[in-house]
Amino acid sequence: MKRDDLEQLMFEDSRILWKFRGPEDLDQWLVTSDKEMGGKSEAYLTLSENNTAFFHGVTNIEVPKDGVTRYSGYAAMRSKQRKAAFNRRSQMDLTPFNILNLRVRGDGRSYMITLAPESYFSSQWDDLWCYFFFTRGGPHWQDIQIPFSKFFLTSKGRVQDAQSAVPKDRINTIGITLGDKINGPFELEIDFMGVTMDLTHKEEFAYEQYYQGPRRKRFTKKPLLSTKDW
Amino acid sequence: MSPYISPLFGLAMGSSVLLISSSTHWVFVWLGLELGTLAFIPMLAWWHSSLEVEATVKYFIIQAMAAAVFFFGGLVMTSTEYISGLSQFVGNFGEVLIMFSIIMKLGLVPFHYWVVDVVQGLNYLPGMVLLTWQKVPGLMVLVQLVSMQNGLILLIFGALSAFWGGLGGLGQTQMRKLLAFSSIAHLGWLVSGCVVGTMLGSMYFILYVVLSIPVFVFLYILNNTHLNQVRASLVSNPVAAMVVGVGFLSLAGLPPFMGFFGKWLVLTWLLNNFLVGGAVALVVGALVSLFYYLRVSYMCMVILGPQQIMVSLSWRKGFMGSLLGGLVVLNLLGLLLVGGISSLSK
Repeated sequence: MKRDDLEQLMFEDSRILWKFRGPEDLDQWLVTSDKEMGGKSEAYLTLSENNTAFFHGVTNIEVPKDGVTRYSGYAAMRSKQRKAAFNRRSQMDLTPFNILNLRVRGDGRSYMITLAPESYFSSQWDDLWCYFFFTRGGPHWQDIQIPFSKFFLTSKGRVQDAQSAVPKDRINTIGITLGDKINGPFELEIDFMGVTMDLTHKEEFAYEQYYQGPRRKRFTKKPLLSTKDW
Repeated sequence: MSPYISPLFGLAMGSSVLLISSSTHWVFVWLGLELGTLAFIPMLAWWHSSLEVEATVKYFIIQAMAAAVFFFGGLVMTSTEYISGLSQFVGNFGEVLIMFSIIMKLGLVPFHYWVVDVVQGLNYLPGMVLLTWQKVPGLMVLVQLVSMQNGLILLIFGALSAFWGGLGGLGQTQMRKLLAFSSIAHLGWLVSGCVVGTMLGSMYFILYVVLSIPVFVFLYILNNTHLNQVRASLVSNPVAAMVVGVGFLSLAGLPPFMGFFGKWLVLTWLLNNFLVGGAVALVVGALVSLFYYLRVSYMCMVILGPQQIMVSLSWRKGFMGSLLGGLVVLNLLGLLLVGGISSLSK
């Protein structure tokens, strides 16, 4: 192991994943919207005047008349899949960290951070861990810190009953989605995205799990021979 | 899962070992293997998270494939040689198939790739059971199959496992993957010991289990899945961190810890039987794996990161302190045991 990797293991408490300063930083991201399935939303990712990422466009919740689509009006940006040698997918290992940091300046709308992990079976390919962040809309930058313990599991846009913590060791892509069912323009300026290790944050997973389904009563007080129902 | 049903699975896993140990017919041995596997599957997916379910399905597929190969080997043997006792399977294709199926079940090189992925997806406790108890049925079948004809193949696979387990763990920072590669390396030593003598293999296995359990349990208590987190545990729970550090030194086979004792016995027996090549290969593998054992111990016991001075110590250490102290002493007993048990082997 190289000396700098060992130092990284020993001392690293934070890491900047993306720092948007030029066109080459934007090339690592993909932008999508419901236009791909017949919608009317538009989304763009450009470089702002301050040399930061500028995610902007227009959301339109009008449902395309194809008889299949029931909801519309989203725009998303997602990091490109990292590749290793021989075109293999490479994952980000964020296990040493427990907080996701963002420095953004928004328009007051509510956005969603999505983490897409590597999955082996096809039933898990649509799994996304999501959490929301709310922008203030003012001229001041926001420093947003989202613990990884707060992310919840969704699949194909539906929150799952069986929840679990995000698998931080195999993150394929990180994305930002806007789908707040509002018609109109949106603007989100992003300075950087990073991760931090906060030793005082001990929470592993924020959501309790409850047994689902009917429970058969094991112990009843009814005697074997009961005259109650005679 | 209901807590009332887990004793049933535990009973089934224990019964599988009894069935294998008391059977000579290969069908009942296969039955015992499958009983143990199927009883263990629900325990893997205890917490129902997507990662654990994925690991469980991977484990099931591999074990089912191995079981199919085992059954096919038994059918080939019975149809060609008209014998059914497992210890009578010597020197033909059916025996080779059965041996390869057991190698696949154990996770020995070259069928070791599933071990890392499965253990990485599991929690520490089911992973611990997978890497310790679930080896017992396979090893019990393997010692019945060892003969002059296939001993060399097993020694080669054992040496390769020891080397590959060391090589694979070099670049790992995930603790569970590291423990999986460590287990592959130790399995190489274990199989080499089984080839030389059943008693030696049993001794090494018991030592490995005794060494592994505290490491797994305290990594579970510390909730550390990455090397970086191990570094931070020295301040939050220093006794647990020390146990993990000492445990890894013991797994590395360094004297005076108990892990050295097992390796020393295997090497002695290999050299007494003039299997110098195997001994050299095992030692080289141990040296390679020593790197990551030392790295973990160094991170556990030696260094402090810049952020750690601010973190307060955990206060619930009353019972744990004495328990952990006992486990550290257990590791140091390796030196005392050298004289005693080595004389028994003579």
